Amino acid sequence: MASSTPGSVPPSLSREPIVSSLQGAKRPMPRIPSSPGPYARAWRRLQHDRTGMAMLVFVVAVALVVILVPAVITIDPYKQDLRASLLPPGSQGHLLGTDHFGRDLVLRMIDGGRASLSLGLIAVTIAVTVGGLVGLVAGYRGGAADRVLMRLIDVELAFPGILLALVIVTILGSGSEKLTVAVGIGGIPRFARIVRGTVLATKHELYIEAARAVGVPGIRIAFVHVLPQVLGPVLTIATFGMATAILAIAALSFLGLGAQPPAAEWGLMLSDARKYLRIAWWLAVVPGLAISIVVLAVNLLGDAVRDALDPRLSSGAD
Amino acid sequence: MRNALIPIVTIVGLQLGQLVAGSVIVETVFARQGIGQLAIDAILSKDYPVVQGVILLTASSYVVANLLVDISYGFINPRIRTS
Repeated sequence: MASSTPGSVPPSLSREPIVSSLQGAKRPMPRIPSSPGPYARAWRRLQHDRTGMAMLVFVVAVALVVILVPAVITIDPYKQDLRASLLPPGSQGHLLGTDHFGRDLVLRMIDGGRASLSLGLIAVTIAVTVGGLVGLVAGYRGGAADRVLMRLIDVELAFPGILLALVIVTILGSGSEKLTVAVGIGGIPRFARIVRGTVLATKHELYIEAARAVGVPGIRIAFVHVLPQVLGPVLTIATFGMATAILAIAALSFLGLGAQPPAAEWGLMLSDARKYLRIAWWLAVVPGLAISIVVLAVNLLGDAVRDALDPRLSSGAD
Repeated sequence: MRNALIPIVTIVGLQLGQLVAGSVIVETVFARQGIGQLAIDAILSKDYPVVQGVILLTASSYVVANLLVDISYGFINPRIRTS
């Protein structure tokens, strides 16, 4: 028999206690490595995206320049010097030349950039806040609230983009802050739809049901448990929306409905420069190029953000 | 061909709105007399009835265009008609 084989160790009969509560307390629990959150992972993916990072650095750099330069040195983009009007780029003391009043183009570009970027950001913030709330209520409450709110959003969608902003500017009157509100309102439907869709998809997740089962109030569920799910898609749309908003604000300022003449704003500068196109091309080219490059950069950044947040959509590597 | 047509038709419908809205800017740039120029002049001179008319016209043409797009789905792909 196997057990009587010489040299074999007889099995120890003293058993380990099954519940070793006293010893078990001293033994460290095996640590489960905490996985980084989805946004940390998205950020890491974004860091590997070379185009995306380059665009992020570029946009941040532009923002820093237009914010910090007026803060550090006192600039006066309105100082006129009629003896030095329409100087070409590279002139003494005027890197990008001067306009028809002899105002320095570099300073006006910086001042105008601050207006364009900050107004774009404010417009997107308005759109995200209102659109997000509408979408959240419509998606989460459902029923009559959903039907009424989404019909209103559909009505807004019936007006093509810039035209809606034109209507609102007509009602409110022209001026850059009113224009910003108009562009912000124009952006609401996109956010409302995206948020509603995501909320509808999240609402029936098991953890939401669990939260409801333990008696978490509805408002808390909506804001604490559902809203974070919405953040990803909204961030993507907001980045694209930022590009659209900058472009729309520049376009409407160009039409003379936004910032009013003495002010420096890229769209307005482009509009002013039109009259001098034949004798001073740089006045039109510089703001035009600035608008195009910034909008392109923000759009590419939006692409990168979308790929980082939803890697399934990305076509290339990763 | 027919299957590829569906997304294209959708985009065409949506682009039409962009086109009309874009005319506002293009007509200002090139000083053409059109509905966009009319709208801008009306806004700048606070001529509200004209603004309302222009907006009503463009918005309804946009809605009708998208309705036509939706109807055209049925001709492109008869399976959509039943749903």
